[in-house]
Amino acid sequence: MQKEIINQKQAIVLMVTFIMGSGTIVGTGDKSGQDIWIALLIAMAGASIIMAVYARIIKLFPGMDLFDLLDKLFGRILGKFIALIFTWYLFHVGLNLIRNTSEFIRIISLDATPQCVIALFTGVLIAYALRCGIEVIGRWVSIFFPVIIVISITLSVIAVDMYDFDRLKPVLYEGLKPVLSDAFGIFAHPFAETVVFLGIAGCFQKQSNPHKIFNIALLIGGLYMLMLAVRTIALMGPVNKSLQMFPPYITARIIKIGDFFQRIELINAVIIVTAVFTKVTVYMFSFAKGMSYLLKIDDYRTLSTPLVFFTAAYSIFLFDNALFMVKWALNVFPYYAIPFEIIIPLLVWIAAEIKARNDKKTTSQNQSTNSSGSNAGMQC
Amino acid sequence: MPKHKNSLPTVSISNKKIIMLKSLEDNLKQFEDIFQGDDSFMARHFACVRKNKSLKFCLLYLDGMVDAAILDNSIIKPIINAHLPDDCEANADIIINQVIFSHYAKKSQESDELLSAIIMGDSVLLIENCYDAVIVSSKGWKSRTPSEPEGEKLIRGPREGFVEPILDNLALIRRRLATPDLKYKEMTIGVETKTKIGIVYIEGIANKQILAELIERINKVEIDGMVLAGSLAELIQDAPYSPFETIGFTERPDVAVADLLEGRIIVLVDGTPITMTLPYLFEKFFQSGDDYSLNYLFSSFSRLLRMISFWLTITAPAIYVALTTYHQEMIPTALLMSILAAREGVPFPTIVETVGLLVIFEILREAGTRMPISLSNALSILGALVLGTAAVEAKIVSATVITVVALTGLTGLMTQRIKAPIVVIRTALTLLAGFMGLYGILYGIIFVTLHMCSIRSFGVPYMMEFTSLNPGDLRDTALRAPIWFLRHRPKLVSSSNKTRQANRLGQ
Repeated sequence: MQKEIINQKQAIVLMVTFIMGSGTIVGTGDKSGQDIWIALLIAMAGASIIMAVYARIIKLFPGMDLFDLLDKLFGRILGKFIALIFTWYLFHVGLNLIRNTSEFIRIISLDATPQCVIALFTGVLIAYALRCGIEVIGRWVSIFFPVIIVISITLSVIAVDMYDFDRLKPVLYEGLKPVLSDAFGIFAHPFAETVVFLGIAGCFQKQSNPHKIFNIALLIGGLYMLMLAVRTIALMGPVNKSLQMFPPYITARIIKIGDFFQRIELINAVIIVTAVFTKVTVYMFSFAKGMSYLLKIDDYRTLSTPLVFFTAAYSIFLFDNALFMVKWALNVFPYYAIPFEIIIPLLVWIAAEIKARNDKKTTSQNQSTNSSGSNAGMQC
Repeated sequence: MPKHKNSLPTVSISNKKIIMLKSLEDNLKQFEDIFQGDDSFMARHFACVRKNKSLKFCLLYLDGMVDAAILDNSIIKPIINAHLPDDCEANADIIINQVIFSHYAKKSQESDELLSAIIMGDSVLLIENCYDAVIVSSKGWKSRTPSEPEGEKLIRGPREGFVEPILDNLALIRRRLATPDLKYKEMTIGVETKTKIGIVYIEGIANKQILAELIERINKVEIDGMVLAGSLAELIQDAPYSPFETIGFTERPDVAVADLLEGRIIVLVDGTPITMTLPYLFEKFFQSGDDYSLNYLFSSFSRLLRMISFWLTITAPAIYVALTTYHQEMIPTALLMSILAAREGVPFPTIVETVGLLVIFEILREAGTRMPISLSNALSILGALVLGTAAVEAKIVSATVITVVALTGLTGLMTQRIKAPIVVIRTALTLLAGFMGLYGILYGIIFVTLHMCSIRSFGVPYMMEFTSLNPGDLRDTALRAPIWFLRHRPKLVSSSNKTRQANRLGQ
């Protein structure tokens, strides 16, 4: 099997779309009210630190994904154990995201359609994407990314006379505590979720600089979230926002040009579905890779389709209702994700630094065998 | 025809062979046996009389395939009038070197060579007391003169199009490309038809890997006959199950030459004016030869228009179904009112109405494509009056749906070359819209774009130019930048030689 490779630009675009993903559905927490932009900035600052760790891991062992690395660093048994925990996380979040999508579509437009139908369609799409492989997803996202960006900027610009920036005041009226709490939420979801990319890091082009990928993605993704948050607050105000289940989506409902273009929130749905689809695909891709590592199967593609359908089917039973889902995402997830987003990467990082140093000391041969692992295929 | 049990899955051909003997009569008998039942097979006996004896000859040819004047003046006349030395033995070399007036004459004993020469319109000269026969070129079948292809008209282009004979087509290309680097590799396909396939490329510009891959794929083809370029393309192209074509077709030598200069490879198939060009990427569907001769702003506009048409023709009916079925809130109130008024009294659900009319439109199109011109009036009356006006007045379909389908059809005609994918995708999207509204369309489009991204044409990603994230790569895809910006050949398609023009911008 020829190794799949995505180049640096595609990796950045994939990561930005990933970050845009679920933030556009469930929003970014409402404890901080109009100070959400401060929370975002703090979260970005925090994320840049943990992302540096992720990038460093990839940089130390280029061309290897997390699961190969675990094997190499912690040995068979402990490595498999950590991989198992991490794979569970991938599965669980993938599950959540499929549920998010189907719940979103069901609530927004298709209230009479059974949820399983939407989950099935989503499953088919993701299964097909995984069959095509990450290289194709990298190319695909390069087509859709400019479209998404153009649509969101257009939406923000045409609403310009409806903004009321007084709604962003007063700044820090309730002190720093709620802001920090939201910042932690935003940090865990979506910024630190980029830990998933450790699972597909083996597909990054050798020459690409992981630090650059993570930093640029964080910057663009962060700016996008910032634009979204400020737009939501300036259009609706913090109180209205906290009443909505899907605030970023609803804001587009207010936007109106003349009497003709109105209720264009469905255009926003294009962005949301595309971004979330990208995000689930990355999760499921990582998940399939993890499972094929655990079960010692060479090609993740043999597993991907059943795994996706299992996940899609299970997503229907995951939550009782949408309120529970949003609550879980905003209140429980940040704490739930700590071991996977912070502890495991830190452990891997420390072990990787030690291993890399030892490798350098003993021989330089290891390096050359590592780096000859992949052959640069046709790139575009 | 006897079949060999041990032979591989195969298309077998007559295994009769000719073994050249000394006697003219014996040789002639063998040829007559093989061409038995073919009344156009001719054997003309004549002799060159010398002082004491006469040397007998026999000329074999297929009537209608040869040019009679060549036989008369270049073969028969010189031989009868020949003044050969008396002691001369019958010798093919002497005949070729001293007697025959022809640019191509060759002695041979090979059965296959002799037979195919006769079949292709050359003539074979048998000589008394000689083991060799002489093949003389005398092809004389008619071909039409190059005329502008109906399907690919240009406003400011040459009025020439490819014709059927493969070498005429090569000549049409070569006249425009005066370089010895233009290479022509001939292969044959088809056990019965022995169709000539010509691979044309410019050495140093065409990608060698792609060329090797192409030759390998053509060699793998084992088939009884190859009549059309399209069927060869289907046998050798990537993603054969996909509706998207990864090999392009053109009837214009100027387009073929432009493709060659970009590093693409042209495949000529004997007997058809359609030539293949490869690798063929998605943006090629939207390019026309005229784009490069008209103003660049206008060309860019036309290209954008074609792309918008492509998306409109696959999504317009689907969006109509989705909006009227699921998302009425998105339609401005005034428009919604008129749609509702038009739909009043129509018994079918929107999705049935739309899909039904789409099918009817395709029927009209198919009927019109291969119909004599004299019937076209009847078709337009049926289509426009009966199906259009009368159906609306009888409240079978609503006027809005007719408008939407007409828009779909019109934009579809604009992007005629992508017909197959358009029909498939449009139908699928319309059905998906009936299931899941705009989300169905979105899922469908994501599926289609994923599929398009996964295709390659001879190793080159199909959507390469659109997925590069480098705005500069759009200069000859979505837009057509002024010619002096198009300094480079497309990546991966061509080999290392990338620069097309001297640098005029000082970049």
